[in-house]
Amino acid sequence: MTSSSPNPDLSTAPPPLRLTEDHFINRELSWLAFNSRVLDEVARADLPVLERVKFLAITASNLDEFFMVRIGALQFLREQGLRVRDNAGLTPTQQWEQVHQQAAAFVARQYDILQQQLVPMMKEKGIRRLLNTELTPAQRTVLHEYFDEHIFPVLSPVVVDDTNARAAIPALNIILLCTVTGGDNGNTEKRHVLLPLPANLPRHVLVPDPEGGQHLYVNLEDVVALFIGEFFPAEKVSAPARFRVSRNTDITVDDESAFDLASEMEQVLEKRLKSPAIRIEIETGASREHTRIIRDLCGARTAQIYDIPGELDLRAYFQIAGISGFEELKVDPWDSLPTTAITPGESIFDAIKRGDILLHHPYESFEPVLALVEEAAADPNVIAIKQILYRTAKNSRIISALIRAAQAGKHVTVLVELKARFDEARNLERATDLINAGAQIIYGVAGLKTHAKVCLVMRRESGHMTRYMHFGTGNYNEATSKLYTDISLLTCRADFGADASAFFNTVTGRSRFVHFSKLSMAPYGLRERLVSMIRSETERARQGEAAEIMLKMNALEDRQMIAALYEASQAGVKIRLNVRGICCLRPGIKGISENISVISIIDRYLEHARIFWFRQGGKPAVFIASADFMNRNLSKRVELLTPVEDREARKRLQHILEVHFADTARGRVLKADGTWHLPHVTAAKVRRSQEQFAREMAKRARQSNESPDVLVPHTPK
Amino acid sequence: MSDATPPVTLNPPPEHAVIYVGAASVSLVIGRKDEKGQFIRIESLDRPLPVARDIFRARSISRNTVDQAAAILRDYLQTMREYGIPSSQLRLFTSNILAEAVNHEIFLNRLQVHSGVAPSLIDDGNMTRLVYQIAQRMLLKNPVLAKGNTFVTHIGPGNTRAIYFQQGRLAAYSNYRLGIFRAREAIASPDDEARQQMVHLEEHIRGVVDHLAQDYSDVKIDHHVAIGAEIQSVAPRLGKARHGSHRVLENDLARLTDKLARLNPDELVRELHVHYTGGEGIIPALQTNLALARRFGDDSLWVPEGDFQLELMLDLMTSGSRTAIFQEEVMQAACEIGMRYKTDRKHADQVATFSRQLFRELQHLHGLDAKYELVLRIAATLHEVGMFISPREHHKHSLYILMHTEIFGLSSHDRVMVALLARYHRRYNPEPNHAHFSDLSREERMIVLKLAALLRLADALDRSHAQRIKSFQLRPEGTRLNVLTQGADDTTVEQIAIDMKCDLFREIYGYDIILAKS
Repeated sequence: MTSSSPNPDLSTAPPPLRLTEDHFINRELSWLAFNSRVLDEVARADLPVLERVKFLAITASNLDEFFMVRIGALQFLREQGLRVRDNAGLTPTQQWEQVHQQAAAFVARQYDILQQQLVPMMKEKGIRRLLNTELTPAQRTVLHEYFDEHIFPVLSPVVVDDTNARAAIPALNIILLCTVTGGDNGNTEKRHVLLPLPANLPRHVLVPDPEGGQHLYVNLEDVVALFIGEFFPAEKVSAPARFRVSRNTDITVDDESAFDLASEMEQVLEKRLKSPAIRIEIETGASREHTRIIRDLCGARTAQIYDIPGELDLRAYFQIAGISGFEELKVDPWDSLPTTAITPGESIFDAIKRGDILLHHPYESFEPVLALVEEAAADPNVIAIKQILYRTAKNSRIISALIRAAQAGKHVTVLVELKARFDEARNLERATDLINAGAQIIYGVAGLKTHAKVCLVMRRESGHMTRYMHFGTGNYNEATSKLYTDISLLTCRADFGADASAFFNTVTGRSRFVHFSKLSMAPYGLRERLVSMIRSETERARQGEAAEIMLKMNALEDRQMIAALYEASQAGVKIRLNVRGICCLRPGIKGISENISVISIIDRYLEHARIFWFRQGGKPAVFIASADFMNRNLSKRVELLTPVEDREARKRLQHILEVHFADTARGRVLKADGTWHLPHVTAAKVRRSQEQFAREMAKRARQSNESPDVLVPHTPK
Repeated sequence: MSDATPPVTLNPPPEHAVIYVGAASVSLVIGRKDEKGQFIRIESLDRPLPVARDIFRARSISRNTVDQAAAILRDYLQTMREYGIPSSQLRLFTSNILAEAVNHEIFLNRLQVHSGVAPSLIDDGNMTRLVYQIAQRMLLKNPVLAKGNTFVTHIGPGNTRAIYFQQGRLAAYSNYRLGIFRAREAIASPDDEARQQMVHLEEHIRGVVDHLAQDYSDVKIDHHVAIGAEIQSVAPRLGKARHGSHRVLENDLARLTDKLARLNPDELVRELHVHYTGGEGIIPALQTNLALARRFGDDSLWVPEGDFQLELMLDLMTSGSRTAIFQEEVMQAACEIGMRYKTDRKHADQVATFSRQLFRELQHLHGLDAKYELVLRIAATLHEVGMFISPREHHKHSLYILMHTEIFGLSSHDRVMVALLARYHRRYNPEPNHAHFSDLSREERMIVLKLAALLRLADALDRSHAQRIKSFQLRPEGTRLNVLTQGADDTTVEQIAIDMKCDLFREIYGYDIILAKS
């Protein structure tokens, strides 16, 4: 604990609050509510159609993950007969039932919006999915060629009776099931055959537009269905059923998407080799016989089957959302601008030495963070670079720079977190390159997932070792840095440097955890520091001082943190929470949480920053962090909490929070009953936080460009 | 990357490193001097190593512990390489409890092989100096403690020391064979319940606590300060620090000790964020502090703010430099020893003063580190303690007495130097077969010779024990060193003494000494 932290032991706190089930919202239902808020964006008539399509694909992708991870876990608990109740008092069975009920309603709304609104609008603008019945002969010919060339060679039909049939059902792929009978030889034997669509083929196959200017496509499953007879010459093939299975072990335990497992579940799940189906989606129109076969094949119960009123796997709409040539159907881009804190052409080290640099991505470019590592790699005075990598971009510039640095003889230490879902293969591949270049690689920390975002550069300047750090709330991923809102802090403060070194010594096993003077690290005291900050405000409120807390995070689930916030609210602390996803805290309960308000913002960028602000008697303490208020973040992850000491940076973070709380365009407010609502304001008062940040940043950049005090000469390369 | 050379290190870097093999862990601190010339920490690392457990349980360090130490050193050297710190800027120390391990030579050798640096045992003298310095800093920041009679105790892994301050100045010092790990291992029984263990520990330490209390029974104590890694690490839980110290109520400490004693090792490690081996020392340390507080009837203890271990390491980095006040305290402690053995105080003071002048003015000739000035002055103060036994061969009695008398603030190594200087303050020159002298390295023997030559000259200048020569000036002239004296008209006695005793000076420094009136 730092010396500046208030001492909770000194407080005259009343006995701890007795919390009941009514004080919590179930996290699964809260998550579903979050996905509904995303779906609200799909329903927005004021958004361009392709932006709405993008949100549709996001909801589908989210739901897949939710089923695989959360519902998989619930189902397992249920099958084991475990009756552990969650904080909201629900048994696994009760949760499972409520989730399925709500998920079914969600899917119905998804398809309703798609079919009633999006499809007609896209059609009007020239983006159209053609059904097999709508194809011209010329288009059929094109598709036939495509089938012969690309599909037929890689698609392997599997007979259902085959003992390997179950293994032939890959998760999340679309699979066709057809019945084959007859033939020239008079054989009347009936066979059921599975045709799993190859995962590496695009879902949409473009077909020529006779009139021109339209984007016409046919779904892959339709193409297969069209030419299915080629697999069974001279036999009779029934109309195929289309289905898709979600399982619970196809992914490892993740965190970013706000999913987590009960602690007793994690190990069990990871050990299970063959997992049962969690959800079966069958496109409407399948015969009863086919439905039964699919159900038996997957070992599922009827309650797990979802009748999907249209094409399966709406994630494919990501492709549509990004098609070129239909720019008028997309939102006007907001530029990612260079920070005004760095003079063009200036060394990143000189800029940081002048003062802490706070970046608000993606309104401000991620470039300075990349520049820190890239300049460090080429700088002869840099001795060492230490870096945590969690989810990197394809062809990551950071990794390339680290490889160059290692090749140049610098001490490069990289902790590559292999448990970062979906990215293991990519991470491993680059890790090998790093090892070959001479870097020291550590594959995570046993028992803990390393989620902290930190980079440390050690540079010798006039004989002295100066440490430059980047602390972030987001990953070192230049691609997602354009889509996620995050905060970066670049600093060379000596005490932060000592803590950063100590942090790396701890995660690389070179030292046990030693106490930090500025930072806090989970699982060694980060939670305690946050609790003590909340309790300090509570104590101030009890003593009649003005007390206030503003917190921004992705998810709020941890029972201890919620209890601390309730106690603060009871004491009179004004608490404003900006929680993007899961929020198990119930605001507005009389006598418990009436001083707490919760807002969630779903907009163009994914809200991802974690900012914690405490009034502290008028001298606010402000932090950025890699952690959410979730049990897994605070107890089972390696996370960092970084205080922001620069006065201007603190003010900016406060401004960011204030603007979010004032968002009446994309901010939904949580009610005591667990529902979310848009605030009622007159049109004139509507404020949209993300738009405001984009505008403010553009204005800053303009002002800076209008009076540049440094001219940048073009020099020969 | 372990063998890669750092890119830019033409000059040695300003960073220095200290590795300390302690009772329960191995620590590395990398530091550099700030604008005030004080070492500040840049980076610190710490890894558990059960040295004390091995020693107090089996009297030797296990193979496994030796291997672990080697692995830790490898990692630490990698950190040093990242800074480009050469081994000449690394100092390696071990806790003095190592001396109690039968195989400590083997262990030290392994450390040396892996680090490339000869390890030194940190001894009571270093530890006492550190405790004194921490106490002094507390007194400076806290006027209440500085004005009163303040009793300071430090419970280390193997020993406990007590320092008594009156109005901020050292008034008494003592050292006891009672330490955290020594006590813990003496009573450790895996079958004992927490409460039973606490009772056993209390019984075990009672004798030493009584002894300590008896030693200070006749002094007035206003405040009791407890210094030590364990008590300092838990003090922030028991109250906020003001003026550089925590005021810990005896009741609160008792409650916390009781609470922690009930935790199993896993819970203790989680609760205090300590490592397992370090965690073992917490309860005995708190309980011993508590026992002392109760024995002295204190309702509260003062505990300094800060990390004891880190301060120790930074202190070791400074080559054990001593502040002027500390040196005077050490001199004062030496004078008290001299009084105990009824030495001629005026003569001793005069020889000490002359020694200091010679040491300073002939620095260009002997080239010795400033710390030897204190060694020489103490030797000058105590060179005649052997007279207490008999004037005949009193130099040999001096050697014996000083070899067996703890001198506040001096390491055992420095004490050997002092004893040998007293041994050679007369006309008998060292011989390679002389006890203790023969144990020294060649460099150390040279230091003894250089200092003994100065001491003999200083002693000769007050041969009459009457302080006839009040002061002198040195004037080198060719191969002669003229000593221009003031105060005595006739310096024949002194010149005879010089002729008898200062052949060593001639041999070492190449000068004949000629006395002349100023």
